[in-house]
Amino acid sequence: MIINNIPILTFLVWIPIISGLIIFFLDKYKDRQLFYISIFISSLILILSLLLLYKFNFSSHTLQFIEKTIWIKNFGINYFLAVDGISILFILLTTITTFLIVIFITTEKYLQINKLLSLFLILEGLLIGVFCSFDSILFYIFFEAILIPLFLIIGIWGGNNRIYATIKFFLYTLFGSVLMLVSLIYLSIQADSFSILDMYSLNLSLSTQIFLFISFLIAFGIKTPMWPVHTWLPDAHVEAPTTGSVILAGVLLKVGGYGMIRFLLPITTDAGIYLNDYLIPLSLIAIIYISFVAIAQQDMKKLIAYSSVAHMGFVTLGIFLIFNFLEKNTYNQDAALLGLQGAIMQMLSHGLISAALFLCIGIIYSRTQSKLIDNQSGIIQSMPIFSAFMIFFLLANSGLPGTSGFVGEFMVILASIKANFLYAFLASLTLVLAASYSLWLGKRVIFGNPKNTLALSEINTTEFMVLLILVIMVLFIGLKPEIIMIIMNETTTHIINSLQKG
Amino acid sequence: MMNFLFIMPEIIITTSMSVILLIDLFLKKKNKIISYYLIQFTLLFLIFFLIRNFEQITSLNHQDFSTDIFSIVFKTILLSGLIIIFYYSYNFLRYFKVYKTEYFLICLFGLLGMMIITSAQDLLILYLGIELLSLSLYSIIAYNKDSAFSSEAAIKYYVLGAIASGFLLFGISLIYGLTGTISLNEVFQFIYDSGSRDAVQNVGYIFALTFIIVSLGFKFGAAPFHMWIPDVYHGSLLPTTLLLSSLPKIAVFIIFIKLLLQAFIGLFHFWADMILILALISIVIGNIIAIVQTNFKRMLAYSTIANIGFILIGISLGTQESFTAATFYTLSYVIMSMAIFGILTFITINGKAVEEISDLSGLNENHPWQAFLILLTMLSLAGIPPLIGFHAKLFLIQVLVNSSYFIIALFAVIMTVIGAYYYLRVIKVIYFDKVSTKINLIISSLIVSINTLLLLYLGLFPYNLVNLSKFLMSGFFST
Repeated sequence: MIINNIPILTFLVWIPIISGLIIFFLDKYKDRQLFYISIFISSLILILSLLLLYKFNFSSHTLQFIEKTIWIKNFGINYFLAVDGISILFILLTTITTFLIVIFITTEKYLQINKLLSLFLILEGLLIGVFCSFDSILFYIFFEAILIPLFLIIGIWGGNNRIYATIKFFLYTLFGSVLMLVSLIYLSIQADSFSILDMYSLNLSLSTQIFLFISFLIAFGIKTPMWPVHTWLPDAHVEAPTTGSVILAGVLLKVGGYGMIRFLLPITTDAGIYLNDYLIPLSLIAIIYISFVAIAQQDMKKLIAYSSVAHMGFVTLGIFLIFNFLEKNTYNQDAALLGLQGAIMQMLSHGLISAALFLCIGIIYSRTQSKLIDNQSGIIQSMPIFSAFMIFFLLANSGLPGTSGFVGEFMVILASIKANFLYAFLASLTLVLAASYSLWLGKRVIFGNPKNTLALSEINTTEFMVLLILVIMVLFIGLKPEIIMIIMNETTTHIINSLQKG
Repeated sequence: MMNFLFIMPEIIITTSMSVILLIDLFLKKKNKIISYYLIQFTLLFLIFFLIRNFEQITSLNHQDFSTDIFSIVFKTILLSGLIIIFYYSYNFLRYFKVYKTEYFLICLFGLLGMMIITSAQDLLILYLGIELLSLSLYSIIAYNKDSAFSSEAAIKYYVLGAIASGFLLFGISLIYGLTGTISLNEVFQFIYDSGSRDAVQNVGYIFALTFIIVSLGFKFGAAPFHMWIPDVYHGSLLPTTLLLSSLPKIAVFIIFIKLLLQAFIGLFHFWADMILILALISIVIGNIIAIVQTNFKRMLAYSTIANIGFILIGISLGTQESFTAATFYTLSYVIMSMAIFGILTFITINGKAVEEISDLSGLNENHPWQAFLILLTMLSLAGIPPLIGFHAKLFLIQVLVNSSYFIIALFAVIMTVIGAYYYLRVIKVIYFDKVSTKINLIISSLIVSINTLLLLYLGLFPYNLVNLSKFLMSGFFST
């Protein structure tokens, strides 16, 4: 079959980037033409990624669709793309989110629409590149290049305080990633190769590992974001345009968690075990303290942004718990696996739910021109269908069983019970806290007496379809999490097994 | 009969300069373009000449004036760089009606100085080349004679430059006193043979090296000898700044290679720390002071200082890899610098040249392509992948980590983050601010686009440039 011969990952990475660069300069085209072009490209990429899933061999943990050629001979840097059971999930998340964003853009009014569309396509290509590069420098290049389109998206189409927010975002993430660069170079010199796989088999002393661990933790912790380096996220979210927030919360934050699984976990395992007692509290603070911060917010976007930080706390908790279970006296392989799978599940679920919530806020904003909670009330009176959607996503955000929000949190809490009852108790507080900020937001915004005398227009078909797709996916993962498990099971098991040996 | 082929390029330049100067006298004002084309033709012919007679020239090594592959390659780079710089400058000068053929002829004198530097095998000839370069730079800085800034900058640079030259001569004479020779290779041999030295000799060498390095630091623009750079960049015309920020950096880098690597490598322990200190101070001062600049040229001046600091880090380690990284950094910096100043020479703000960063506000709305080009150069200078500036820094940090200088590597990358701020500010002004000025383009910008896209191309495929740098440095380490 012809499909077996095409370099599908290269296509996935470069078609959006190249077409995005072309669209960037198509100033003279009409909006409608640009929409058709972008929708065509993003759906093409979506189909390609589904094809990838179709051809993917679930019963193997080895890398698949390997494309490896020498890129920069003198440095020994390879153009090394491949997927395993974890990356394929994030690639799908990226393609689906971008597809929905491109469709959603058609319902909003933006200046310089061609540039917005082009930047999203470029971002899509770069994100797919991050998730499928297995050469550390290639990974770093995609990781860092992501900053450029997002910097422009927030800076050009953002709110009043956008410049502060976008520069803060850029410098924060750049700071983290340059530290990672030094570590990657150190590792590559030790391993005599830039391939991530070769770095796994290194025998590093504990003190070296601790330094590497800290630099990776800063890099990915800022991206995730973890408490206390999360402060760029609320600013970036509040100022970003709706679609910018969607990609930021939906996919970009997952790069941090993905990086932790790829680098932090296998390379610096000993350091993680050694530092374990300091790490889990960081996640718990993120979960509890940030939830309280979220309750106090007046701005809807800021509230969801803080809720993102709290939910990502579960991701880091799941990952750090693995170190706990690798310790000799508390060794428990099944629980470690549970923590890892829970973290990945939580990332996927949060990607969908927070994306949906930012879309909902964007829809409200486009009608009332305000993001403040106090300025909204009784939206259900004029927008009943939309309100149903939003209530659904708020419930999913608070971890309602049957939605995807429940699965990841449940798995992580289950893993933490096996580690320490106190961890589990504190982590499960989130079920109360998330419910309180989510539902209270719903109460104040959706119910009550309508404030605006003019009736708000109900969502149109496009918005309806976008939200409906998200509802279906959230329910699907919530009710049939096995599907995701099947995809990632072999890879995650392999990761945990190889950690045990090391 | 003595074969003059090895010095033929220099002879051709000198003759053609005289001839063009004469022809130019008889040209009417509107026909001055002829002399411009003659100059460009001379340069093109020289490149052709060097490539054509490559083998013959390299076989004719003179004792004091080497024409090895190293010098030929650098001469070709300098010549092709100058052709592009002249192209940018000509359009700018014509537009602002300040074009005189003499401007280019003085630049050619500078080129002659740089070519002599690349070939010099002797401290005195090296000094002659440096002086020829410096004198021509003094005069083109003063070229903008209606501006008080320009005169101030020229006088500042001239006085300080003369002192620096004096320092260099003093250092050279000390070396001559200590070794009894001025030939680079003989100095190397002398230091190598003498082995262990007594304390008095060591003091003498340190003394001489200090004078030489101070002088070179001044010529390079390394902090704390950097004070002339912002004033000169600010005061002179854009084409002058374009020239100053690019080719002389290559020339001074070659002087560093010739002196420190070829002659004084035996004294590595003495000069390594000096250079490293200069490097670190330059990076800090350059990056931090650039943050508060509002004038575009001044900001780029401080960015130059910071980049010079990175080059000096490469020099200070003294290994083959580090010199290769420094060469790579220098070449890529020159391409970046030519790109950004090249773009600026094409843009006019309300009929004037670009001065403040805020002059460019909202460039994206009416000139998206030019805005995109500036975006690329700024990101490349900030070291964001996949542009060439990233690979330059990557290579350097790799060398640092490889030599276990972790603290310096961390310092360098953190400074990069600070540096990113002021580059981002330019992008912010171009993309996020509202249009406040009337921006026009002098001519369409095909060449400058190619120059800028080269940053992207080399960022994606840095292979050839790395190989070139490796090749250039390999000659010094083969023995």
